[in-house]
Amino acid sequence: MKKIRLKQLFTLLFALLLLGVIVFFLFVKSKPKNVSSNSRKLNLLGNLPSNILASDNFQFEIAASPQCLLKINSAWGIKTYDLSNGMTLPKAFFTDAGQHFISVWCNFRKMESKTITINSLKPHGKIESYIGSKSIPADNGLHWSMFTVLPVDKYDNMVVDNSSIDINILRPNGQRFSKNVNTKDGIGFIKISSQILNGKTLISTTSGNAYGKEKELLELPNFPKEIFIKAESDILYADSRQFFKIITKELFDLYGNRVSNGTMINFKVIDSKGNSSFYRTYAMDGLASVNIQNPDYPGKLIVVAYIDNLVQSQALNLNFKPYVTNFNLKLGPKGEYVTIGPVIGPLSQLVSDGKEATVFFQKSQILKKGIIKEGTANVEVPKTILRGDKIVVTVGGLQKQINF
Amino acid sequence: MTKKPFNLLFVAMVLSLVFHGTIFFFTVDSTYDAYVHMFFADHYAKNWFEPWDNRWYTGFNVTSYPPLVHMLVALFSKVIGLRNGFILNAVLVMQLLVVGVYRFSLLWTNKRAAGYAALLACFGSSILEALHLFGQVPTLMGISCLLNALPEIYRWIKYGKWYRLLTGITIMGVGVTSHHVTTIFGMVFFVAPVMGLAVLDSLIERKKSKNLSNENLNFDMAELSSSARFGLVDILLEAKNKWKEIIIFGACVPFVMLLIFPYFYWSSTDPITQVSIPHGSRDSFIEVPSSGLMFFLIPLGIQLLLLPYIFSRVWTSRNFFIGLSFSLLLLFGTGGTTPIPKIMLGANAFNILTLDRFTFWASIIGLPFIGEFFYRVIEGDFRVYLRDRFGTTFYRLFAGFIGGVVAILTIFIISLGNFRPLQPKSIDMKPIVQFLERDQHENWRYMTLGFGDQMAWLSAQTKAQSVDGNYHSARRLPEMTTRPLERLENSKFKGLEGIGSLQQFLTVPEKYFLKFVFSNDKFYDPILYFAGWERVQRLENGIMVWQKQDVPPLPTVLPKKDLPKIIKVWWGVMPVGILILAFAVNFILLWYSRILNKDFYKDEYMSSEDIVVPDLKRRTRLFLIFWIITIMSIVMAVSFKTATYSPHQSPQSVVEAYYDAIDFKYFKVAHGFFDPTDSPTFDDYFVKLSVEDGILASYAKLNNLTVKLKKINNEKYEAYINAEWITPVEEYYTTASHLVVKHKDKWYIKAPSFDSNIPADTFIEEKKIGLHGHGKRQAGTKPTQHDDVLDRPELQILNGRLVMLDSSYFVIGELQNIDVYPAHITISSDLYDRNGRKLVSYNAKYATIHRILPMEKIPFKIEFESTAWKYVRETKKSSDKFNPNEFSPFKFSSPPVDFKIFARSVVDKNDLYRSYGVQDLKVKGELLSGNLLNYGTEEISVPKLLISYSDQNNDLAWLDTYFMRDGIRQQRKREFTAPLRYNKELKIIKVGTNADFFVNGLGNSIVLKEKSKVVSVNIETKGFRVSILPDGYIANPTLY
Repeated sequence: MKKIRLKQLFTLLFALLLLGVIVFFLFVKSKPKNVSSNSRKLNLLGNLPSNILASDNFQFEIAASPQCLLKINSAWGIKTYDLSNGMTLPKAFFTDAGQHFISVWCNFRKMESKTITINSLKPHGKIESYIGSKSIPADNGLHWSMFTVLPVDKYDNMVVDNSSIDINILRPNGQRFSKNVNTKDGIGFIKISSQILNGKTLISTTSGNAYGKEKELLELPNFPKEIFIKAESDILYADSRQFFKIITKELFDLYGNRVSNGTMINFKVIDSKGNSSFYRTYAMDGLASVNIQNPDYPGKLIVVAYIDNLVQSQALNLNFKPYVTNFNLKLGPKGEYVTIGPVIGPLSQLVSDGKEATVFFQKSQILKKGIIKEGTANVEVPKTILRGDKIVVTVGGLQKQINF
Repeated sequence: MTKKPFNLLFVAMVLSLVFHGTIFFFTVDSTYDAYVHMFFADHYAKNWFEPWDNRWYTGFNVTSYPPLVHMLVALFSKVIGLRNGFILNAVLVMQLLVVGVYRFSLLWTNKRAAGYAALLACFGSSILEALHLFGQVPTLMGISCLLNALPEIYRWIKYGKWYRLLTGITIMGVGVTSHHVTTIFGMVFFVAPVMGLAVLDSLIERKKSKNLSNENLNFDMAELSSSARFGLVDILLEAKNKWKEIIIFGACVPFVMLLIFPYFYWSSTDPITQVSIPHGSRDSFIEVPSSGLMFFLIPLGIQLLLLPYIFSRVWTSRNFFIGLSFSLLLLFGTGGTTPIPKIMLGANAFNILTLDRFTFWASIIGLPFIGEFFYRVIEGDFRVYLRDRFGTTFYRLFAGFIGGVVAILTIFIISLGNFRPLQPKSIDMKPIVQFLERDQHENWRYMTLGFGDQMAWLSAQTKAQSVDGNYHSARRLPEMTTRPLERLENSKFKGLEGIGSLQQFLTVPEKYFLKFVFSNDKFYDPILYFAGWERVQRLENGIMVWQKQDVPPLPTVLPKKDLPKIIKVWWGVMPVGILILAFAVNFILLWYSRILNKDFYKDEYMSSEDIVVPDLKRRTRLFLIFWIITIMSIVMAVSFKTATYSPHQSPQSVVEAYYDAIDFKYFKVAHGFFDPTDSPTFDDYFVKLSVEDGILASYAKLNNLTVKLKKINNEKYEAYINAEWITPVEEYYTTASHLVVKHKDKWYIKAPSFDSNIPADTFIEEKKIGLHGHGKRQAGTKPTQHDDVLDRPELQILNGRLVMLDSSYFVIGELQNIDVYPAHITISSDLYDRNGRKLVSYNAKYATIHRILPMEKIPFKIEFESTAWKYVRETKKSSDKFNPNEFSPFKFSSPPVDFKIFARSVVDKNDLYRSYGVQDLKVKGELLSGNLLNYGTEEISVPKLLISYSDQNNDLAWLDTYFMRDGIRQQRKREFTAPLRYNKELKIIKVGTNADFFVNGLGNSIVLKEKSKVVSVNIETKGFRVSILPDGYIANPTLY
């Protein structure tokens, strides 16, 4: 019973499906009437002007044409409209500047076409502008920056060529001038060459009632022209511990601008034994200073400041006096350590804490260091030192020795 | 009254619900894999039918993992959130598992014992470990389904009821879509023995009928069912009778597998071959006891103690199929302890599989028999035997002991994550998620370091993409697939290949659009700094955000390996579809049939007699007692030795223990090894330690230590130490000596001396440049405007050349910042062959300074590394050994003859500290020595020296880097002695001209025409000038 019902149901469904297919082919796929079969010429676009200014006051009505489409092809894209019930070209159509290729298609055949040119208006509203390099060195014209304007009309169309734009410029030296540029392909530009004074160059743009945003071009100091250095103090002791300050005179570039903050200055220091040391600092507010550690040996110290591949200062000669005048030396019980001190300084004082003493075991070629605290330092004697080894102790350039 | 076994199952289910439901809430965050599964679940919650996920590995297909568990969590997450959804799912899976164990046990033992097995499933060591330590819910779901399917398969084979085939297949289908590996291996280790059991039971019944027909009234059913003996021919003949059932079931299996067809499709179409990840389960458990503990002893738990009982029960005539399975699984579970698993599985399978899963499956097979043992002890024949033989007290003690072992193991496993953390501390992801969401940071990729598996939890909460990932099978980039690297974020644990891979990502981040790194481990900080990364901010959760300047954002359209639509629909529909079908077949259809009083599902299984547990032979009993005593003795001996061990026993051990304590930064312990007669107080020692910094003090890990002792007298030794330290940037070898003394029969070492320098000034001051770039706009979410973009600082490449050394090619040169702003620079170079074909491109890594001040000149060296580390693997057998210096040169198809240098710069504001310089530079033999003096206000944590070798024309001829081991505090200096590494074999391939140099996309402008010759800090040696430029990483700058 159940099987019979199912069979009937399937038969009914099949019949319905067959019926649906027949209906589809009869009605939906039936050929439409051919409008153009009568070779009827359409004249829907005839009254449309071929050259107009962009405007939102313009409208154009197109009569109803069954089974026809309107196709608009322009730089703004391709649009199609159904003309079965007629239409009005939208206002927006007449505000988009450029060439519009309009065609009417009926039953897949182009029946009519027309090219309309909509011209843009004068600059309006805000003028877009860009500055290429936002900062350039004030190097008297070597560097320059490109200033570009992109004016648009009230419908945001690119303005017509040769639209006049006024560019006003205020330089860091107070000089103010204007330049008129004409646009080409929607763009106007000028090159702003550097001058010699650092500061901000302000740039503005106008055209009729249109204004551009204020733009800034930073003109920055150039490389230092020369470096002079000097020591901040004259009391210099060779304690290999304290620091003395070397400062530069104010650093200017070729045109008298103070060099920019962060400009790197290197210092080379050569002590009385010919050993080199190397310090670095950078300029702040036109000055650079560096803390250099006092040498371990009394005598001459030469300091030179320089910028790689550019400039170097004079050689500054400094004389360092001996810091240690005398010290005692003895071996501790069982020879486990060497006692250095009291170490006496130039004012008959115990030298300051932190002063370094070097202990060299000559035969064993072992070098050890001790830090003086309260005038004395104990340095452990390595377990491998043999009897008879000579122990040479140096403190502040002063040398003494003792046998192990 | 007869005790109902079902009562125990019910109790087990309630226990499981309460126990796991409560505990998992607290353990889920510290598991290995839970967050990975949540990430996958989040993917399905966001896009069910799109298998491609961009968030990991530059994109991967989630069809690489069976989806059902993730899909269920995704569904739950819509109501209760991702984390709670995952927990709920896990609790439900545990319910299924308890039922599965009960049903599986019924195949092997009596009903009451099966109830005990279900109870033990709640506290089974391997199950606890899988859930609470590993978070492997899909594995548990897979095994649960398999266990529930097994009785159905048994019934199909034995009774031939089609309904049982349907139920078995649908349950297996759910298992396959949850965890395919369990089902695939389960076919061999579970399904085959159960099918064998069905055949054997049929044989038993046949013999029984035969005996009954012979009217052998003395026939003992229990005896036959438990210890009947059959010949192989009997079994084969019986199997022949069941051929139809066996064939049909076998034919169904491929259809079950087809449910995850997209997985197999991915597996076969993905062209990427992966290098296997080292896993502790493949270790020799004797050589690496911690692996043995984690992957063998803990999963077995109480079963280890009762192994003889399990063996005695599985190696019977009826159970020998499962006995074979159990023995094999146990053998495979021993990993690399013996060569047998490798021989049996083959080297390829051995290196791909994680062998702990075999132990897990063995423990599941053991559960029915352990349940049976507990049943016998608590209410069965053992109870009677023990009470009668040894008395009630002994019995109670014994019962308490085995119960206590289960309890202690449960507590131990649950708490393991707390007293031995497997993961970094829980990280609050909200600040990171917010950081990624603001200012369009999602437009770049990010990477996490030191997050552990929590990186997956972060990924689950953001749309931002990571180059890293947490599912190694889906790795796609050759930098990761060619080496055994699970994740980049834990690369320090993966030795050479881990750090090497990470370094490549950090050196050329623009290749991956990688801009942000979230660091939870300061170990990686030096790599990041010296590879040119900078700190942005420390988030509220303590995570440091690093960024790389000048990395382009991700393109709008990203590459994607699309799958056919049918596969996407298949993947989205089939897993849940089979679950619904399984539910319908197993519950709705059954219920419907019962209502309609249909009997198509009925067979004799439920009405069959309870399995009679055979008596234990005396020798088995004795061996079991001996075994328990032996195991407990070993455990107690090891515990006692561990508890009573003192490193003060010998000079050697005290020195080793001291270095071990220093390595793990147990400073209180280290202080305890100092000679108490003259050691500093701990506070003093700690203060001195706290001011020490440097790559060794703060970023090193002890890799090797050799101690040589020289006897001074019976109470004094001199210990000479050679230590090998690994750091993120270099490997260090240090030597030291310690005096070891005996005091009150204990050995101690003399406390070492520390930096005792005293600074010159109480207070120091210096001017610093401070820069801040904030654009020119109101605060808001608008994107960067043209006015906000700063000019790129102008650079000049001074010189450059392509050189070859030992068949490796390098581009070296110098450049100078000729702008007025500090510049962050990226220097890269392309190499070309004689036909002008581009061969390779790479960036400068450590051998330069990435942030330079106006007018600062720096040298640079670009080393062309191979993106595939496999060349190293080919040539270096012991490649797992850590060596951060390891360099894998690029293999050129044709020799490079030409090169181009590209320098890019953006304005920089960080890491511009320069108040440190080189003092007293000297060359002695092959060594360059001097002091690095810090005369400024910041402490330098890791100082680096760039050692340049210039030729007679003052052009750079070679460049070397040297990392100093100690940090330098303010107004202090450190000595350095670096080797001179200029090699005369160096061959100049090409000296570059200005046409080969490009800056910020334009040709190189020659602004500085002069070349410094006289002034530069250099010394002449062997015809070359050597000069040093220091660079320093400041870990705790005052400006951050």
